[in-house]
Amino acid sequence: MNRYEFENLISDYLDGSMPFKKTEEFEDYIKNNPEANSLVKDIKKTIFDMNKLHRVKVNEGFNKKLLSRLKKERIANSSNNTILGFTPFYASILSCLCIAFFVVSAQLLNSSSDSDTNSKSNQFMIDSEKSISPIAKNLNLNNDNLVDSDIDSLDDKKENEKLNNSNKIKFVNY
Amino acid sequence: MQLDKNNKNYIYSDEQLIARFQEGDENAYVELVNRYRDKLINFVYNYIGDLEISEDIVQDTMVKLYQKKHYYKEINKFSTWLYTIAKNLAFTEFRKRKQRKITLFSHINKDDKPYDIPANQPGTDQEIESEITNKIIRQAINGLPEKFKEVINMRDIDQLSYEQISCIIEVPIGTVKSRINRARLQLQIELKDLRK
Repeated sequence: MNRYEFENLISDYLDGSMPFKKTEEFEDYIKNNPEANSLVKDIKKTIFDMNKLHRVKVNEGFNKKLLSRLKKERIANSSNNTILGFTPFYASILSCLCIAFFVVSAQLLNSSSDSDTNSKSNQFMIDSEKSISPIAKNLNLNNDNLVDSDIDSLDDKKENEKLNNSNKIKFVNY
Repeated sequence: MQLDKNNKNYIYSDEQLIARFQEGDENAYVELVNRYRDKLINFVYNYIGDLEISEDIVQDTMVKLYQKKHYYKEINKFSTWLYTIAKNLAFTEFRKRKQRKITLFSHINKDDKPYDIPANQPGTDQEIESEITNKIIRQAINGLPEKFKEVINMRDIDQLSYEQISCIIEVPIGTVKSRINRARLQLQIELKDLRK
């Protein structure tokens, strides 16, 4: 064991945390080196003195002072009622902002959906015009004509039914 | 809630007490305050060197313990957690004072006036000698570099374990051991005259 190794192991030796074999080696070294031996003894004495160093203590009124501080803290905490960790002022600002956000976003959504439906209906109209057969086109049939023809045909059917019914009534009465 | 100062018989471990306090038992808090107030004031005093400020820091530590009780998780020892709170508060105060350019206890050189540690009035020659030895050792410790002073105070004065010191100052145990060993050797050089 050299001097460097010895110095590194002093604390381990004094703490008793050194393996047995190493302890024997260490003790052999200090037996043969009186200077090293006195250094170990001095450090041991210093540690002992440090353990016994005068201790400071808290004042008599420490606990009283602590209690009054805790009471004040409690009062302060109870007066500061919070809503989800926010003070009432910030909570109200935050809620206003949230409401404003929802209103604006709802309006934006509505306007975008309206424009979507308009564009879809326009597209449908264009598609339906394209799908009309060339014969129909030759006959100059447009959507208005088709609708009118439907209405006409329905009207005819109703009139025929009325005639039939009147015939039946006539037959019973007769 | 009452604070009983003469409670020396510890029935519950620190960890059991903090668990009880977390469940709302304020007597457990009182017990913890009584156990740690003197230990903490010595610990903080070694950093700050002013008894009044040290006491304020211990008060702050205890208030933090009260407010942040639920932050303690039983991964580390309770004492390590509490010492860490105290150390952080002491460091904050230390930095504040450094900014204010106030001469601190730790910055007093050997040539400066030695600081007065509040002590009982020494009576016999032996007590006077012991008081002088205390002062010389204190001065020698304060002459050490900050990182050595910190660990030697924790180990040899506050008698914390290597593991606790490692957790509080957030360095590996090996580094703590090495710093303590080097601090003790350096301290011995400073105290050469005392041992002759």
